[in-house]
Amino acid sequence: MIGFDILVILMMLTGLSFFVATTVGIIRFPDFYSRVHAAGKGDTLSTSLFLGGVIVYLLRDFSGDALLTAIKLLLIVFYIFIASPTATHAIVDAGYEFRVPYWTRTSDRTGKAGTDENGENKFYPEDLKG
Amino acid sequence: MNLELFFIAMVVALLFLMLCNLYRVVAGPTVIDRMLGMNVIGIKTTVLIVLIGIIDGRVEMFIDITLAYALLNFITTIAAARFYQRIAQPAPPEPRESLTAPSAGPLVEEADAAAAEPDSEKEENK
Amino acid sequence: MPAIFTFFVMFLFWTALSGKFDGFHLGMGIFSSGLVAWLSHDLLFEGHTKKLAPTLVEIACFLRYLVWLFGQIVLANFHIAGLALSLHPRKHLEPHIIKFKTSLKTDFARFVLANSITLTPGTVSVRIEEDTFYVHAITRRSSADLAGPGPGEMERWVAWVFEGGTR
Repeated sequence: MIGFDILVILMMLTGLSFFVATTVGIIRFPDFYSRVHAAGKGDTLSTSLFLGGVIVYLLRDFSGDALLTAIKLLLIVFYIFIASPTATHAIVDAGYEFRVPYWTRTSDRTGKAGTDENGENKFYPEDLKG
Repeated sequence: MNLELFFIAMVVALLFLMLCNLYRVVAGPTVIDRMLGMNVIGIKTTVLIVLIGIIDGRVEMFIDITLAYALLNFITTIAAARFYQRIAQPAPPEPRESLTAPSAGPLVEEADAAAAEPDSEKEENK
Repeated sequence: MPAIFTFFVMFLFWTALSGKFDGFHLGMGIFSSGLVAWLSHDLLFEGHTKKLAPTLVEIACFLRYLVWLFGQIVLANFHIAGLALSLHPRKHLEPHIIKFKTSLKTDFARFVLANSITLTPGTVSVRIEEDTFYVHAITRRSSADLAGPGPGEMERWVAWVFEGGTR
């Protein structure tokens, strides 16, 4: 019994630490595209860790209702695994279409975003449609 | 052992993290940044509703709300992203000044300006 | 055949959500999932032409793939957490966009590949034009697998699951 509790606490604390890393990344990263990296990856795993902790907590004292709720939680986890990368992709696609300025190391010195180290704009490929 | 206190601590921590994410929503330089912040807050909210349901002792009811909220969050994000993508579609030769960050100048001029700059990274490699 | 598959998936979903097993609720479930399956049977398994047995093999391969993907997701989280919590994240970042052509044919395989790229360390899929992928990578090293000549490791996995390639 106490083993289940420790498992729940461990899973939730791991999920919380990944949430903290995501939040710090979203606040600290220099441009929009790096923030997308933090948001898209951190949220998927930490949400499933949290909900997995809830599943373990519910199945600790087993009953039919608890099993049904656990199945619904599993559905939510499965859904988030599909939906979170798709939403991330939609946001970053819109930002790419929007020509959101991006960050390079030279842009820190010059104060201007948009070029790589050779002064060429390789970020937006020429043959990109639309 | 009763885990109720631990769950309450988790709820408080999640609320604090959502407050931190709200900084990106308020201060984000572009519209898309704000949208990203709202998406992250929405995902945290799904977890928050489940935890509140456990503390309240009625997970069976709150789980349906969570499912609906997760669906709604996803659809909202997709709809907003598609909307702003359609706004940006008739792309002018330079970024829209009013909606992007002030640092976004015309792309061609930036290329000329940065070409004049010496390159530190290549020097490091040498 | 796709209609029957759709009906069973919808009906399982109905029973999981309703949680009641008396005649009335099950009858309602059969009626409404039959209606949905009749109206939109060509949406869920669009372009899926395989028979039952290969489909089951495909699902088993997909589960095996998910195990590998979960390991990659954990790696990605540690990678992004290390970047975010490092003292000077700007020193380690080197964002760039790479472009590559995929050999995958079906839409669903491309969808799985794009989502997997988003979940693996250091890469986010930005745009898909027919068979061309635009991927944003956050460091030089994280794009090495995708930018190399020929299909990368992940693309070989996806091709193994859906199109019978070797991995």
